[in-house]
Amino acid sequence: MAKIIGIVSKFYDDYTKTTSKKLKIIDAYLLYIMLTGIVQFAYCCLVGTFPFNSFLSGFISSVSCFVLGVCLRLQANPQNKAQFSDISPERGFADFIFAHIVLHLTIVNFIG
Amino acid sequence: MKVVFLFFVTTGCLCLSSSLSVDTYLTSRDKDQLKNVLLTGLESENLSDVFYAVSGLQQLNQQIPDVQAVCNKLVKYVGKAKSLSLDFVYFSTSAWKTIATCTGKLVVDESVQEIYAMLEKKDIRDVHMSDLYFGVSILSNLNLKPKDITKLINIIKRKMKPDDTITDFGYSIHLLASLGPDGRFAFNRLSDAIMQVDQVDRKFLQFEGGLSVTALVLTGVYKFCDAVQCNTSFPIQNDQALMFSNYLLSRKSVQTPKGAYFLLNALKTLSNNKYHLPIAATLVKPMGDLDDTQKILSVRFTNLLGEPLPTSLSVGVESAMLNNKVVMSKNKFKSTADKTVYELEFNEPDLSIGIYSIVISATPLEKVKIPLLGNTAIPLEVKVSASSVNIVDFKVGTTDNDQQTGPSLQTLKYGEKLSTKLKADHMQRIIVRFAIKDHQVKKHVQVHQAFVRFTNTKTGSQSVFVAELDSQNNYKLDMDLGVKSVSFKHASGLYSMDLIIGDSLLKKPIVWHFSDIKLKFSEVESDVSESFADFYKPKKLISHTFREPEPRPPHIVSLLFTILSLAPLLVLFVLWARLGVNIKNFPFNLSAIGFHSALASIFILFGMFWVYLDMFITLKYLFLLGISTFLFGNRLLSYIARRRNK
Repeated sequence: MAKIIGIVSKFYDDYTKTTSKKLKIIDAYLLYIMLTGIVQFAYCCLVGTFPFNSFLSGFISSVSCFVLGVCLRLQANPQNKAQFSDISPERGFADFIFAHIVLHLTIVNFIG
Repeated sequence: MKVVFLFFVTTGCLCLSSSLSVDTYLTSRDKDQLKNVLLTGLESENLSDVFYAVSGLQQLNQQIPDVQAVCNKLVKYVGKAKSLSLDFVYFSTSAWKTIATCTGKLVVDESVQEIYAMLEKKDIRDVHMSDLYFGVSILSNLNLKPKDITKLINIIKRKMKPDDTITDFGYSIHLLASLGPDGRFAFNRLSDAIMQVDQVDRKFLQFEGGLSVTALVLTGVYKFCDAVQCNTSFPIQNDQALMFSNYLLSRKSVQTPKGAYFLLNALKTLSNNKYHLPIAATLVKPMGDLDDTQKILSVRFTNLLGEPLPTSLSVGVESAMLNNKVVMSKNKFKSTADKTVYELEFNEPDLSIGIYSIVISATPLEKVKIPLLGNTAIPLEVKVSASSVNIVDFKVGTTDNDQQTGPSLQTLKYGEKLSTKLKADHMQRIIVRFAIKDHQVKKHVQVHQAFVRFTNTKTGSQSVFVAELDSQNNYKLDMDLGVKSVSFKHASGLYSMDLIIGDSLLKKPIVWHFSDIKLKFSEVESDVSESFADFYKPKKLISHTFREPEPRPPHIVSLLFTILSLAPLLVLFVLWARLGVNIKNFPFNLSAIGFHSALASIFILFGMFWVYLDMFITLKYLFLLGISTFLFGNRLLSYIARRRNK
């Protein structure tokens, strides 16, 4: 148990030290999205899925926001520069915004 | 070995030839029909149809109604046309010449010059055989002649190739036929061309392209042989002539003036030539139509156009079979007052009913110059039907289902009706027994249809049951009412019973109402009310119901979860604040403000879309907002990128 706590605390320390501020902001955003998704899922389990399309669009919105956020994080991470050599962080952010606009148009249409 | 082979080939040919005959001809009804088709051609806007109509009517020996109107039409059309094509001029001058009594003049001088120029041409590659034919025919219509016949024949010689289309071949032999004996060089081509004919069912011969092409080539061959004197070496064999005749007559319901003209032309050629005369042997009534009162079989012998033959005939039966048994032979037909009709007393000893296959032959009594074709081994199908039959040993009755007691059957004579009503319930059986006998010879007869019909006297609903044949050729219906009650829809009541006898060899079918019967079924009569009328009434209306909404959770719960799902936003802000997001770095310029406000308005727009806007309006606004977001965003982000790179 103490070992696990040790590992976790070391991981946390490393994270706070080595990760750039930009990525931390994105991570905070991802955490927020994940929490929202968990709350929605809990509601569905405890209360019920009616109306199902609303639940689905909310939950899918969380999941896809999370996916898009992860994508942005991947592209903005300086360690991945080799893979995304021709994509600047700004370009990644623009794609992120565009994808969000399209995603939310669909979600709002489906939410009913 | 060779001899055996040859033997088989010859016998094969003989068998083939023996089965060929023509079993129809152009009746007066067909001629009327063709005449009507041709008369519609006169009204046509198309000059070719007018020509076909005029010529066809002439072939039928019919007057052309309102001749001068047709002439005026020709003049008008020829005058009106801007450039005259050769076929156009050909059809108009031919029609003009066929009518012969037209007053006025067709102005076609230009075309005549054109034809002369064509005949003088050195390079004949783009001259078509049809144009040559039309051109020369136009000249002959105008009583003109080609200037140099030898040169023309040379042109044709060079143009005619073994791989010509059959239509071109037809035109070339027509053309050569009009030029007289000099066209003899093409004689060898005839058999080659006739090889191209298609045979169908060993009965029909036709050229690819149908009626008009077949008729064109056929008439061409006869004309050509008249012109160059083929005499004994006429290229169309007798069998082929018969098969051509069969094909032409199979097309006698043709509906276009062109088809009618070619059909008449070809049939006339086949009926009036120096080589042979195909004859048609037809039964005067369909399938002879004989029975025990009408015993005379009449057969009509005519040429293809329905005209009498030039000689009287001696007609004899070669063989006659009924159910593969030979029943008579060597009987002779007698001639009648009508020269075309010959009669046979069909006094087969007991004249059993059935369909006879008869083979007859007709030999000319006088010496004829032109040999007849299709006059031997003519197969005929003759039906001898019974005018009436007798129903004997008719018994009807009921019996108990357990069959411990024997059935109590009542006997009836055909035509009578049972005086007492029968009664039966679902525990009983109904029994009907009878035999069918020939009136004349008192022999058992089998029929195709023997039914007993029950008709409910109240509702009129009918149930029909088949009477089955047993080994003694007696018919029997043995029906368990309990089992068959479904067929009656369990409807108790009074029924009338009819016997129905029918057969293709029975002239008049029998329907005999022989008894009434009171039936009683176990179940209630409720089903009876469901009649046909109810079946067609409108069905009950089905209204659509939406899915019932499930009960919503109490307000408190909803509110709690709304707060819960908004709570992470707070977490986000707290985290961001702790991380130290520097809003100070926000570049206060136009593009930054524009980008953020445009992005915000997009999400507000989405909110409005959720609440009340529809998709089309949303997309319209989204397009405008999207453009501004894109422009501002582009500027802002490139500004940030530049600042980072500095």
